[in-house]
Amino acid sequence: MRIVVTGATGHLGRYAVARLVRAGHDVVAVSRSGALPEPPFGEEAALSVQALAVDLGEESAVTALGAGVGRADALVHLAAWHPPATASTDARDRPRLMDDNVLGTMRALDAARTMGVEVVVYASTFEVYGDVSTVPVTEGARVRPLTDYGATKLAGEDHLISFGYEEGVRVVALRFPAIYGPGETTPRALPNFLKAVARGEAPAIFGDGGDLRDQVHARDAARAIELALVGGASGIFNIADGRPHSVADLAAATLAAAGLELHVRRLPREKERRDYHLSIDKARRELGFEPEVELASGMAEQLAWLRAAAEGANGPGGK
Amino acid sequence: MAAVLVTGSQGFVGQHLRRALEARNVEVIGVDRPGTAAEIEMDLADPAFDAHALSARAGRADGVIYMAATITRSSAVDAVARRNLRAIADAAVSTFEAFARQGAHFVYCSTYKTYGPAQGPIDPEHPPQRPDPHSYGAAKSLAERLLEVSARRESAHYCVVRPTCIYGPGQHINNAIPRFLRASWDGEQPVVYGTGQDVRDDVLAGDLAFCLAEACLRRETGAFHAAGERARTIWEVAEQCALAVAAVGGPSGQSPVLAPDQAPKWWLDQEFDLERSRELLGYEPTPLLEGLKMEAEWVRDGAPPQGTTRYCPPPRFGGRGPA
Repeated sequence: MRIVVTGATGHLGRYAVARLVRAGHDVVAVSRSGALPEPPFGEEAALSVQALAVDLGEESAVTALGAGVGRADALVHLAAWHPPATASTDARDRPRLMDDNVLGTMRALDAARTMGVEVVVYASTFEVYGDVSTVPVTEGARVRPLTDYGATKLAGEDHLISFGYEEGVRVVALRFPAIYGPGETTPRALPNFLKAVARGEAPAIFGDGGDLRDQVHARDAARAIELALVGGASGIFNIADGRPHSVADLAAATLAAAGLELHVRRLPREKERRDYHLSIDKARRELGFEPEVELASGMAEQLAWLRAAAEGANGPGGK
Repeated sequence: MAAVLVTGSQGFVGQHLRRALEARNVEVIGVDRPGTAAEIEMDLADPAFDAHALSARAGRADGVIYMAATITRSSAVDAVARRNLRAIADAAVSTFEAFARQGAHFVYCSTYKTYGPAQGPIDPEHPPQRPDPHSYGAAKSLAERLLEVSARRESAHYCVVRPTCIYGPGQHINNAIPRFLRASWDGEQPVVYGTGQDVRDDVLAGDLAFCLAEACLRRETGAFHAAGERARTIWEVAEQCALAVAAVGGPSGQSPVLAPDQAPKWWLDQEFDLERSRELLGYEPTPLLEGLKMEAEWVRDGAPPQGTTRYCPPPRFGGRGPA
């Protein structure tokens, strides 16, 4: 298949491109910079891909993408922007969220109309659920985003579904939790814990850390994308490692991975407690998805990457 | 005297809303596209739209009723859809934020197209989600979600009114009701696409204007329906159109005819709970036949785009009268 991947140089993008190239697909790697996606840490180098510079935040992206790609069989739309702070609701972030996540998705889909794609896979997020009390949460749960990011990613899903309906194209939205693994640079719970333990320090949590936060390793997330591309399923799927993880457990596990005999530091709770744990039954059933990376080994891998990066052997790269 | 900013003031519903507000002794600060003769001519779909500049030009406003919207009839993702989305969602939230700071009560006119399939009448406060697979519902859903995030952040209040299919003098003449009325005037049988059994709900533009005006002036929060007295099959609506034309002096005895090969691709049979609108807004829908008689006279006169409210009786009040 000739597959267009947007956000190709991002954390998930690099894993997705590597996986699709290894599976024998012809990949067009689209990013703002037009750089060749670096292969993820620990994987063999030299990915043979066509790199294309397109900024989906601009109206000109539609023609640039259409002309740069020509015909394609599939679009994997991963390009999106997340504000630097987790769960941010800063109004100043909204213009860029609108441009990159909503209009950017519409532009990518508009360009896909001219490529003649038969399937589109879209990376969505657990943040679309927002104010949800059910654990584990299934795809049919009410969506009530608490952040502009969640609202804009949900609008991407809605436009994806409209596009699929109008164009007769199979469309799949994958709702991912936090994606971890070597290459991750986002300042949120797990990578922050790993950075702390890499420095020999104890990770810090807010409150009792009982809040549940799902995780998925980037390799598993990339595999879910491939399964969505080659299978015949359509619709919305939660993708995660299938296990509930409390923030406190994550912090303790990073200490164990680093072999440190320290205690997790507790800071006063700043935010209301929220539990997110995704049911992946639908993905198991309809996509044949089964998570392969155990959290402990995935964390050990990310820790090794962080240490290597600290030694300057392998820069963090990515976005 | 209270002042209310109305975006989309020169459009179909805007004309009816202006009249409803003026009858309540409210000054209308209309906002619409350049060339529309609105009090403030501004393009809300312009990426450079500045809500603070709008607020500065408008001066003091006690309320904002945000209706500006264009229905995208082409692709859900093309340049037209992207432009329309800016006015429907992006500019709406920034307008809400700019006016919330001066205490103006914000009412957002959304749509039933934000709803997914449902069993039984839909409660506006707990709606089934998944917008229609079209850009209009998707853009309105986005606006509602961004408003919710923004209101929580700003500790500000707002209200959403979701109309069903809006009809009445001034509506787009290619829609089903004006087509049925035109055919009846021409002594032809109104053509109903599909099986005729699709269930729909039609709300008169003046009734929607009533709900928007009351929601704004009463500073209501939460979500309301602006719907008709009950949902009907499209076949029934066509029959009522023929009756309405006959009742205002047109030809009589035209029964509808089916065009089964032109069935709508997408339709959800939905019903809408009006309890909250009745209780908190004092809303009572106009019977369909009465509303259709108003529109029938408008169609008879060649469907003029302006002066549409003269086909309607004076605005009603929700038990409160002029402010």
